[in-house]
Amino acid sequence: MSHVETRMTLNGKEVTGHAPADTTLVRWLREQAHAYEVKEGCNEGTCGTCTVLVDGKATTGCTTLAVQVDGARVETSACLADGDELSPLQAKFWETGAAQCGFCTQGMLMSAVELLRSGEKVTPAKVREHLHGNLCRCTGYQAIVNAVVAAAEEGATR
Amino acid sequence: MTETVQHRGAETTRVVNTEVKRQDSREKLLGKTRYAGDFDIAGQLYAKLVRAPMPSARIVSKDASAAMEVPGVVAVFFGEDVPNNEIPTNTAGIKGRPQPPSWVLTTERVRYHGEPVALVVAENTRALAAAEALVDIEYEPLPVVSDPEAALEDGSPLVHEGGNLLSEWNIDRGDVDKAFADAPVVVEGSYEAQVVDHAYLEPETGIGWLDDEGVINIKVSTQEIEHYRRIAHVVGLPDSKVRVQAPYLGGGFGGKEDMTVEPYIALAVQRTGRPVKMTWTRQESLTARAKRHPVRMRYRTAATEDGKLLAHDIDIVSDAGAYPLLSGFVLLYITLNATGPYRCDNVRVRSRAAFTNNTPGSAFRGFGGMQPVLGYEGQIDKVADATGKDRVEVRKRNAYKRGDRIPAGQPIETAVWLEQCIDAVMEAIGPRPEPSSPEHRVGLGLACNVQPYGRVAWMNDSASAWVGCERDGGVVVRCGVPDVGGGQVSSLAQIAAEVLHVPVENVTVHFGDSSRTPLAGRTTATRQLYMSGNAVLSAARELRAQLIEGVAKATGCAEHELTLAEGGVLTPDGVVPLPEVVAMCMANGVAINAMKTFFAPTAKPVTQLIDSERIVPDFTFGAHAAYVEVDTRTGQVRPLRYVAAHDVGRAINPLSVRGQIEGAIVQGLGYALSERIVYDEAVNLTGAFYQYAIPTAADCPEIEVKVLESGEGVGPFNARGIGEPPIGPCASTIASAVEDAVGARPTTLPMLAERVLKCVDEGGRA
Amino acid sequence: MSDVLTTMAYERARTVPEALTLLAEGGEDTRPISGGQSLVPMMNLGLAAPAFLVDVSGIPALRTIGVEGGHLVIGAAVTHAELTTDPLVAEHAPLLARAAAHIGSQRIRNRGTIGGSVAHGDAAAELPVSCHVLEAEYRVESLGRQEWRPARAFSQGHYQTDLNQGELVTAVRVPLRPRHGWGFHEYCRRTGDFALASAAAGVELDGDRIKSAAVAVTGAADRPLRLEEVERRLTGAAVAEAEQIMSGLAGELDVADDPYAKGADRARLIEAMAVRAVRDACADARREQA
Repeated sequence: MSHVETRMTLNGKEVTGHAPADTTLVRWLREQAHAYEVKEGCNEGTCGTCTVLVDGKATTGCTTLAVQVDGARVETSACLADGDELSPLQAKFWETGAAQCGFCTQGMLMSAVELLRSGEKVTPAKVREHLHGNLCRCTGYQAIVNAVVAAAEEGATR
Repeated sequence: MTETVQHRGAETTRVVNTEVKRQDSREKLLGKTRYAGDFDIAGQLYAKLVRAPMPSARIVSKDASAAMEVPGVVAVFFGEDVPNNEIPTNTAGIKGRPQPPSWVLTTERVRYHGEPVALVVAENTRALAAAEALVDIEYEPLPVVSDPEAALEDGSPLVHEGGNLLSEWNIDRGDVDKAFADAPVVVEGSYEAQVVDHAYLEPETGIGWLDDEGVINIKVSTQEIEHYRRIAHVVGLPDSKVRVQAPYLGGGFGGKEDMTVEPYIALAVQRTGRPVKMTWTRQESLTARAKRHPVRMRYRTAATEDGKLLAHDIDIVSDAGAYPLLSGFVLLYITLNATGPYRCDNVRVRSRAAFTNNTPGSAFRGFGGMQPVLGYEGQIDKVADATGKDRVEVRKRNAYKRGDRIPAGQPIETAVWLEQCIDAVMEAIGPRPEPSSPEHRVGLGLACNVQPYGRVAWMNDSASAWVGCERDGGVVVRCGVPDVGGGQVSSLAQIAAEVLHVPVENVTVHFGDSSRTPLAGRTTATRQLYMSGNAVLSAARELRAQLIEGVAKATGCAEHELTLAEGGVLTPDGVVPLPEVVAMCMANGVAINAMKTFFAPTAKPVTQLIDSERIVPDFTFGAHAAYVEVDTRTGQVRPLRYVAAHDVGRAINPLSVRGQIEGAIVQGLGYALSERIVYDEAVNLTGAFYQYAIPTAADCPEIEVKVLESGEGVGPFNARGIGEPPIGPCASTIASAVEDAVGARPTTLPMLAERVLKCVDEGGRA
Repeated sequence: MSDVLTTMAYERARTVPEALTLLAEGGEDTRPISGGQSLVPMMNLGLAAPAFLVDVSGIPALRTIGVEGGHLVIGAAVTHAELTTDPLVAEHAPLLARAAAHIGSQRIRNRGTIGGSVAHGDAAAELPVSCHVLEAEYRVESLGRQEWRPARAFSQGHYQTDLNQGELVTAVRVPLRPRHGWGFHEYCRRTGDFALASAAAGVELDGDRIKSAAVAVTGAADRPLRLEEVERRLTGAAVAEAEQIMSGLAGELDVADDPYAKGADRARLIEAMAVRAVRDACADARREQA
C-alpha cells in the first residue's frame, strides 16, 4: 500500500508522481519531478530555501506534504526565466550581486515574486519584512533588498 | 551603495577592477547550478551515521544484527571495518603534548555528543532511518568535562590519555612588567565569546561511485578537494585512486574545510561497489559538526596619559572540544591577533586550548582573528575613556605604520590604511538617528581589525593553474579551486581575460576537480584569490608571451612589435585574430597553453614562544561603525545603520568584494547578537535550526560598504584577501555602540537581551 | 524507493461529517491535519508519527468568517494570513489580526490555520494567548457531538489541550466588544521566532479610567497565563497610572529557568511586553471612544 498518486501543475505542465503519503513537497518535487532547483536546507520550516508558490502563495516545501497540494498549481523558480533570458527580477539579482553561493536564491526569488505580485508598495522595509522567512548566510541581504526594490520600481512581477 | 575607489600607482585595467556580473551567479539564478546534493545515480545507495547520544562514554558492545534485518539495509559498518580508522592530526608547527588522532568511527570511547559510531548503508532513506534506530550500541557513561578551565585543573576527567592541554602559544615581547610598573594608566577587562555554527544553507552532502579505472569518485560540498589523499588513506588505496570534485558550494565559511561526508562515502562505495549518497541533516550538522571555539580572554593594558599603548598582558583559554582538528592553528591565530592593528612594544600573551567533551572546534571564517577583536577593541575603548581621549583619536594614534612589527616579530611590509578606513566609516555613518521612543537609546560604535591572509609560512603553500587557448579563440583556465560562493572562479576568469585581452565571457574555468584540474589548495585562510589568482596571472602571462612568440615566428615580426589587443595579437599590419594566432603557434612549435605554480613565501615553523620574521604572507585592515538602538525595557539591540571600510589593495571584482563584506557583517551580527550553541554538561541542546538564530533580513540594518584600494597587497594586481577579515570587527562595533547608548559595555557574546538589560541597569540611563 | 516501511495513510475530507467519521474510524494514531506547519516538521524530526492523516484544510465550512449573533465566528481552516487581512477580523477581532502578523513568516502564515494553532497548544504561540484575552471559545466536534469550550480551560499545558482522540476544532468564536481597545506585543530573539515572552491585552475605558481589563502573557508558564491580579488592579484605575500599577510585575511572576533563559530574565521581558500591550490597548480604546 501507500504509494499515493499525486498530480500538480508544475510551472505550467501537468506532472504526476507516486510517493508515500508522508513525502514532503520539496522531496516530491526533487525526486518525482526532478525539480532540483528547489533546495532543502533544514527540513523543519526554518530556512526557506524550499519556498515555492502554491496557487500563487509562498509555501514551505518541507512543512507541506505533497498530497496536501494535490491538484494545485505549483511554481518554482524555474518558471521565471524565458529560456536562458533572466526574468526582470533575476536580472536585478544578477546586477546587484544578490546571488552568491546561490543556495537560498531559489526560495528567495519565489518569496520576492509573491511580494511583487501582491501589488503592495515595495519599500526596503517591506522587502525585509516579507523575506524574513528566507535565510541567507552569504550576502548580508543588502543586495537582495536592493534587487527586489529595483525590480518593483520597474513594475516587474517575475 | 556608494563606494570609494582610490588608486595609487595601479596599472590601467579593462576587466580586473570592474564590476563583472558573475557567470556563476547567472547560472545560479536560472536554477541550473547543480550542487553536490543535486546529483543522483541510478542504483545509488544511501548512507547515514549512527551518532553517540551522550558526550562521554565507554562503548561496551555493538550489535548490528537487528538493523541488518530491516528490508533494504545493505551494510552496517563499525570502526573495526575501516581499513585505516585513525585520522592523524596534522601536527606541523603545533606546540603542546603529542596530539591524539580522531576516528572515522570511534570504536571504544565516545568523547562528544554526536560522535560517529557506526555507518548504515541502505537501498533507501526510509530503511536507513529505521535501521539507524536498531543498531544496538551499549554505552557506559563516563565523567564529563565541559569547561576548558576546569579541564586544565589537576584531577579533571581526561578526554585523552595525554592530558587535556591541547596546545599552548606564548608571546613575550619587550619588558611587560616594567611597562606596567611605570604606566600612568592601566585598564583591565575580561571578555567571553561563545560557540557558534557556520550554518551555511547547504548541509554537508556528497555522492560517490567507482569508475572503470577503479577510482573512487566523490562529488562533495567541500572547501578542500585535496582531502582525496586523506580519503585514500582511510580506505587503504593509493592517493591516485580517489578523485574528489567540488561543484559550487552552498556556503562553507570554514565548516567544510575538514572532511565531512567523504570518508563514509568512500568506505561505503569501496565495500558495496555501488554509488552511495550521503547528506547530513541540518539537525546532525548542528549537533555534531565542528564549531567556532568559545574563548575566554583576560586583558591588562597599560597606556600613557595621552592614550599611547605601552603594554598588554593577555591570558586566553580556548575550548578545543573533544578532538584536535584545527584548534592548535586557530589558537595560534588568536595569539598572533591578540593585540589588533595597534603598535605595542611590550606584550605578553599566554594562550592555551583545552580538550573538553564539547563539540570539537575547528575552522570558521575569521579563524582566530575573530575572538580577540572583542578584547583588543574593548581595551582600546577603555584606554580612551580612562585618558579622556576620543576613541577615534586613540585608535589613529596607535595604528600600525608600514614597517612596524607585530608582537610575534613579523614586520608589516605593505601599506597600513587603518586611518583611512576609520575616516571613511566615521564620515559615512552620518548623523545620529533619533530613538524611536522615549524607552529607546541610540549609540554609535566603532571597531577596527587586522587579519592575516594566506596560510602560515611553514605550510609551504602553493597553487597551480593551467591556462590555454582553444582553436576557436576561447580561453580555458584549469585550476583546482573549490568555489564556496565568494566568486573564486569568476575572479580567475577576470584575471585571464585581463592578461589575454579577451572578453571575460570567452573564458571558461574548469575548477574543483582533484584529478582534472591542477591542484590549487583549499578555499580557506583567505588564500584562494591570493594563491590561485597569482598562479593564473603567472600562467596567463606566460601564455601571452607564447602567443606573441608564435605570431613573431609566423610573421617575422619582432616580439617587441607585438602586443595583445582585443580579439588577438596586434601587429604593425593589424590584428591577427586569436584563432589564427593559435594556428600560428601550432604551426611553429609554440605551446598554446601554460601551467604555473605560485609559491607563497616560506619559513620555519614558529616555536611555542612565537618570535619570527615571517609567519603569514600579509595583512588586511578595516574599520566598522554602526548605530544601534537599545530597548531599555527589554535590552533588545537593533542595529540601525552599519558602515564598513576595508583596504583590499585592489578589488578584482568590486561587486564580489562588497558581497563578501556585506555577508561577513551579517554573519558577524549574528555572532554579536543572537547566535549560540547551548550545552548542558556537554550535551548539545541546539539540535534544530529554529533554535539557532542566524539573522533574518528583518533583523539587519542598511549596510554601506567602502572599498578602499591602497594599491598594495601581495595578491594578483596588488589585491589583498577579503574573505574573512570583515567578520572580525562586528561584535566589538556593536558592543561599543551599546556602551555608547546605555553607559555600560556587554563583554559576553552573544549580547542577548537579558545581558544588555544588565548593562542598562548598570549604566543608569534608562 | 521501497515503500515497505511506510504505512501512513492520508485522506482529504470534503465535509465536516466526513472528517469526523474518518477521525472516529481511523483509530488511535489518526490525526487531523490542516496547514501542517507544526505537524509536518514534527513528523520530519521524528517527533510525531501518525498512521492516518485526515486533511481538513479544504472543507468549505471551515474556511468562512462571519458574524453570528453576538460573536465573530472564524472557521478553523482560516489561515493566519487571512486573519491579518480579513475586514471582519479587522473590525471585530483586531487583536487576532495583530497577533497573527507575528506568527513565523509569510510562507508559514499562508498555510498555518487558527484551528491548527489552538489545537496544537504550543504555550508560546500567538493566537491562544490572544484567545484567552478575547474570552474566545472553540467549537469542538466529534461524531454526533458539538460543544463550545472556553479558550481559557482549553490550554492544559505545553502541547496539551482539552481535545481528545476523534475530536476536531471546527471554529473559534469571539464575543463582539466594540468599545474595547486591544494590544499585542512579543519579544523574540530573532524576527519570526517563537516568542520568549508575549502579552495580549484588552481594555474598556470610561473616560480616562479603565473600566475593565484583560491581560494574558506567554513565557511565564506551560500555557497562556491571565494576569488576574493585574487586571483587578487596573480596573478602575486612571490610564495614566497603568504603567505604575504594572511595574514590579516581574517580581510577582514565578518563572522557571530553562537552558535558554533564566526565569527572572524572562519575567522582566514579560513585564515589558505586558506594559506595552496595555499601553497600546488603552491608546486603541481611546481611538474607539473618539
